[in-house]
Amino acid sequence: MLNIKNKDLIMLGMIVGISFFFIGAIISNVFPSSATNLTSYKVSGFIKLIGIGALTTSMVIGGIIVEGIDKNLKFLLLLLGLVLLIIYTVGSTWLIWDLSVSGMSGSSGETAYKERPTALGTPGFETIYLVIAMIILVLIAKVKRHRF
Amino acid sequence: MKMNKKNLMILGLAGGIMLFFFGMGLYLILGPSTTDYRLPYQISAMFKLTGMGIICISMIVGGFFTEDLDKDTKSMLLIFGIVLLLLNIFILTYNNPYSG
Repeated sequence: MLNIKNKDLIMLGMIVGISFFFIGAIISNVFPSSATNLTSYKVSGFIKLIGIGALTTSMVIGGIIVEGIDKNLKFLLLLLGLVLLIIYTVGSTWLIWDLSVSGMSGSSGETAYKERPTALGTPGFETIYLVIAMIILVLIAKVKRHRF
Repeated sequence: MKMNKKNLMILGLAGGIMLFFFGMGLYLILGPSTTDYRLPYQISAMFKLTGMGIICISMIVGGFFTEDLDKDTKSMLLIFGIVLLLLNIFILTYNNPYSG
């Protein structure tokens, strides 16, 4: 059995976080998105944000619990993690879909949204998630019934 | 793992930060939000604010009441917890670009 310490877990989180960020950046560069197909933009944006989330989590948690590193270094890890969190807290308010500016038709985005498929299908695609969620719930209930 | 105050705080911090970033990602993944169609924005805001709430509670309560932490770490958690809470009060919770 692997003997994984807190320090190794934090290190793994930072490695995974930074690599996810760059994988997301590579996806958006290798598969450029167009006005009619935004799949690449969405997938790359999601992967990049999850990566930054993992990095921030690792830095903040690492700054609190990690042992066996210099005290100043530990403090710096916590401080930089918290600064990163604050930057993204403020930055998250700038993340808005502004379809009228990005070269699409329609002044407020409704026309663009109705005319253009959104990678995940036409409006109403949320039902797919609902059905998937219900299937997962049924599966979990079945597994629990078999176990007990 | 024993569920003491420190571990609960760490769990809250990790869960809250990941929820916050997951909410930001959902906003992109669920597709363009417009003035007519606000579902992606609403779902994303719910995840982001839940995450932020958990983070603020963990940081402020953890900074005050956790015993086995460095003095510097505790004061840092407390200060940044308050700063985050203030930022959220004045910026994040009042910013709705689709409110017209």
